[in-house]
Amino acid sequence: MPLDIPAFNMAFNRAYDRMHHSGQPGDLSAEQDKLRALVPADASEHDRTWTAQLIGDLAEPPPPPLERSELYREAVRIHIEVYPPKGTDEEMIAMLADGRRRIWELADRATADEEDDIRAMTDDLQSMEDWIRDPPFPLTDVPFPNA
Amino acid sequence: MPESGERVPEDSPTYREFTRLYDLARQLQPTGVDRWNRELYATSGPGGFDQRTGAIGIHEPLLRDGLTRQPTESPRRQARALAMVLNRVTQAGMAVDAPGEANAVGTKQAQGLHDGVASVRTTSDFATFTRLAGYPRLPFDASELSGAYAATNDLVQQASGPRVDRLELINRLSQGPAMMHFDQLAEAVVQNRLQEVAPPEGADRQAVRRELITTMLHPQWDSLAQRSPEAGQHVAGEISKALNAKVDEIRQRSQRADRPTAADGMQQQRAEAPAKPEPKAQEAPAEAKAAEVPAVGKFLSGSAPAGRAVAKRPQLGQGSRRPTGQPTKGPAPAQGRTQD
Repeated sequence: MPLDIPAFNMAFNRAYDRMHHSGQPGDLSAEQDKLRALVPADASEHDRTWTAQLIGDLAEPPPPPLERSELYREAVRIHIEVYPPKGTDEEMIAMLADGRRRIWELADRATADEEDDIRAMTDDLQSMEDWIRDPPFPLTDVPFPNA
Repeated sequence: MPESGERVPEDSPTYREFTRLYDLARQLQPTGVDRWNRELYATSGPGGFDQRTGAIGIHEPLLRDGLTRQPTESPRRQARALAMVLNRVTQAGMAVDAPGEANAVGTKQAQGLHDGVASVRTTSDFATFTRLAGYPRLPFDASELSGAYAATNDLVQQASGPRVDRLELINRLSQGPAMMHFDQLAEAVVQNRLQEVAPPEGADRQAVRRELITTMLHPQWDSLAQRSPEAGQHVAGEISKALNAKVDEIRQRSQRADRPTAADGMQQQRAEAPAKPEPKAQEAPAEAKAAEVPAVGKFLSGSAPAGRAVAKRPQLGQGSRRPTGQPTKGPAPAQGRTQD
């Protein structure tokens, strides 16, 4: 019987939350046993390998938040300044493009460790800019255009 | 895409690895939609999922250096590359438009929520995806994500509860369509807090959800997408209060509607009985009770600083893969974490 990957995914995520985000001490070996029980005995070697690795990872708590540089914090400030954008379509596009350009410039000066994290902040700026330029559905001011 | 992009050849190792990852990510959370047109671009900018053509773009250095199963000098780049794949897969895996749906939301917030859902799903499934794909355990910090993530994460947290927990809600949202995301959040609120008084699926229940959506589209909603923890906490608190008040209003209105005419003494007596309380933890399945979780009423007070929302989690939740409208089993607090 093949492994039910979506069910295992959901079960692992819930077990991880019970272990590390519930505010209560969890029973690691019991949680791991429950997850192992979801892996059929005749699952493929690949499925047995990665699920065993993940079940082992369940013991690891999340790390503390990263120490961030001033460049990173400046990028956050720019993001806050421009997202969500305000004004007419043209003004919003200009705001988003300007924010994206400024954050990208900061990323160019960042360390290798932070560069990609800073660039990632522009993902939703770019996405919203694309949607305003060429919306896949017309953005409206009223919430329920079909009602 | 506005930025320049170079088509990745389909016979290249990068393209083959991307398609392998794409298929695996879809196995984690299958959807009935696949809009990727099989074109992959290495972009000079952030890239994205092109809603018009179905092409996927990812920043070139991430594709070049990040998509390898071997340990590298930059595991954070590997992590970011895998996260981008999950994000694009999620966006390509859902429709956007919902023609004719009365509860479809077409405002700018709906677009932001669409991006946010992809980011929240990415965070939720990152650890499983990494291992499923045969990559080493990689560092990925959810707080690195964008404003759309912060706003969406908070709304998902506020709508989660004992019947539709956070993970179940993320799963539903990942199915799309994007214009119905607010309606899906509202349905979760109905199931978690108004199930006893809500009408069955139909025009009346849709109207209840529209009231809740309007509350979620609070004038300050946009501020949730800003990552200032102080501003985020304030707005989340405002929306939380507004949602609580709206839930109470709908509940009371429903009970008044149940109130009979004066001629019906029996019904009058029943109507004047104390209002039916919101579902409590004891109504949850045994597994949830075992976790000694608090009552449901806490859920919509779960406001977190927007930029740190992953650090605050509801204490109770349950639900599994069931169609909308059916209670589910199994506790599950909020998801979203970091790992190293």
